[in-house]
Amino acid sequence: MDCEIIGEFRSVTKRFGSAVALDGLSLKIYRGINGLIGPNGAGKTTAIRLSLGLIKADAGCAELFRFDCWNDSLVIRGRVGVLYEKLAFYDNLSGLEQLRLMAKLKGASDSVVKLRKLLCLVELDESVHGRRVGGYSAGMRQRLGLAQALLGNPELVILDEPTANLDPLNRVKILELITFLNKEHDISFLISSHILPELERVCDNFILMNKGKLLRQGSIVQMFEKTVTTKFIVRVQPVESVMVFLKDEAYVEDLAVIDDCLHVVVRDAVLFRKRLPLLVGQVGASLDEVRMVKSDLETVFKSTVEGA
Amino acid sequence: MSVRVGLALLKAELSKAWARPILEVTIALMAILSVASIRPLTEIYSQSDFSTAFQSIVAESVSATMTSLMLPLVLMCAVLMSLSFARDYESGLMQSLLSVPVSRSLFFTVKFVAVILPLALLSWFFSVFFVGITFYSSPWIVLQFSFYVLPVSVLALMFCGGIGVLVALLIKRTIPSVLTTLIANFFFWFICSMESEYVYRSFGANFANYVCLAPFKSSLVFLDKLLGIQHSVSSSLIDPLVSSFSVGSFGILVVFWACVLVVPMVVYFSRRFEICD
Ligand SMILES: Nc1ncnc2c1ncn2[C@@H]1O[C@H](COP(=O)(O)OP(=O)(O)O)[C@@H](O)[C@H]1O
Ligand SMILES: [Mg+2]
Repeated sequence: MDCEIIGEFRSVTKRFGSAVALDGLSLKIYRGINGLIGPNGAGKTTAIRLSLGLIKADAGCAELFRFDCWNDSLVIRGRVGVLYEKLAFYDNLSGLEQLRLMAKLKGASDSVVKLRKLLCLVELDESVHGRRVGGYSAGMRQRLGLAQALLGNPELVILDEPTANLDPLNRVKILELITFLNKEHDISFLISSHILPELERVCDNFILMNKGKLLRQGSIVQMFEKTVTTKFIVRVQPVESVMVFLKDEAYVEDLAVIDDCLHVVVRDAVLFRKRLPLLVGQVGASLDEVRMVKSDLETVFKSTVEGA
Repeated sequence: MSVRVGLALLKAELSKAWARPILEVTIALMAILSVASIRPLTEIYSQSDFSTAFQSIVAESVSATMTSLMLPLVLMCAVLMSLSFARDYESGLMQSLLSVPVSRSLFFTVKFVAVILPLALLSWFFSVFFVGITFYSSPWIVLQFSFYVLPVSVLALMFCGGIGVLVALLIKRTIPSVLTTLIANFFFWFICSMESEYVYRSFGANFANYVCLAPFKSSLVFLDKLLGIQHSVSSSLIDPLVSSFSVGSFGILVVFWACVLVVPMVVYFSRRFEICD
């Protein structure tokens, strides 16, 4: 993981009347793909709005690219693209016209050809470029919003629930696109989502928050460090001999063989990952696959949120 | 650079604010109300004391055209301005547009102009057309009128739009803010349309005196004064403020009303306003 920090919140507090939306939130946004995770009402959208200068923090300090989010928001907005949960466009314009308008507003002098290419990149076909945005489906609007966020070579793209209106297949495609853009064009992302398995796959840095507070921040490994248990599915040949060895390991909580796979519940995921290849080597077995159970980030999420 | 951005935004705002039925409805309303206020010229020729009668007809006709035009103008302005701000806030379009590098004051100005400018042009067209029909025999008055009426109606609409923005930014909900603004603007228009003599009789001389300082009324009085029109009917009875204040004072008053809401709203919107819906 690249460790360059591009944004930072320090004890940011934001109240709406008596409700506390952000409660001394501190977090760091790194270069790469950042996942912002939290249950509904955690303050994710509020944090995103705050970082773009739409709202002002009551206390604390919020910075992106070392610029103050409220006072220098114009500079920040020039370098950031954003897709909000609530999608709104000029419904009387066509998709292409809307994109062209936003390109102008962003000061990007993209040609129509380039804009069409961008629309195709987010999988909006040529046939719908000229249609009124008002007639777009929720999924199409989401794609248009994403195209809008990518306009004008942003350094950071903030996506608030970007896959909410998409079916599973298209979610995967969007996530692949995000990974591609990050690798090829060095665009950093801050993605808020409650669909955890998705984020688990693409993100380098995780920010776990609840009730306006930071619960945990770090890489996927760091996420699991303090969790009580983690479940792995290990495909290994032969299963039995590895199982015998694993039984004696102190950190293993539970062991079972299901469909020729070893289901291991461990207390220390990092240690397990380190030890497993050694054990397998000792037995002379062949390790085909180690997979954390998909809902694992969810487990972390649950246990952390509930434990807090 | 920012001019080009402003124009692109203005174009989009115009097409949104004046989408299909709105422009047509406004034009129809204005046409109906200004036709209703045409005075037959025969009234002028049948009078023996021509110049006094002419003066009085001019005064009544110009005021009547403007007053009746002002109702659709003021109501449309209120509704459109509230819609423009409250609906965009509610739908999230304001949030999207203020997340690109467009300054808030430019955004505000563009939205404001997109509503005010077409309305001012419409009112200019209709009032010149119908005052022109009435006074085609004295082109000098018509020419002067056509020159003054545009800036005066822009100023009057600025106050009215200011109410719309104020209410929209406070209430932040489309329907309630449109209704509230309608009521507020109707109230100011009502003051303006009240006959001075009626006010005199029901509320007393003091009150009647001050009516001419009210937002819309003051711009009508200002317009009358610019054209050199005297209200012959009421001069003896009331309106000492109208006659004792100069054109310039009324000009200042009209500009004051135009800015009193708009300037604080621009400052509030660009410095403090939070978008979090
Ligand atoms: N405009 C607002 N007025 C009052 N409370 C708000 C407003 N916006 C957000 N909140 C409160 O702040 C908290 C965080 O909201 P939000 O940031 O939308 O959460 P998330 O996006 O994580 O679901 C919620 O409890 C919500 O009720
Ligand atoms: Mg949210």
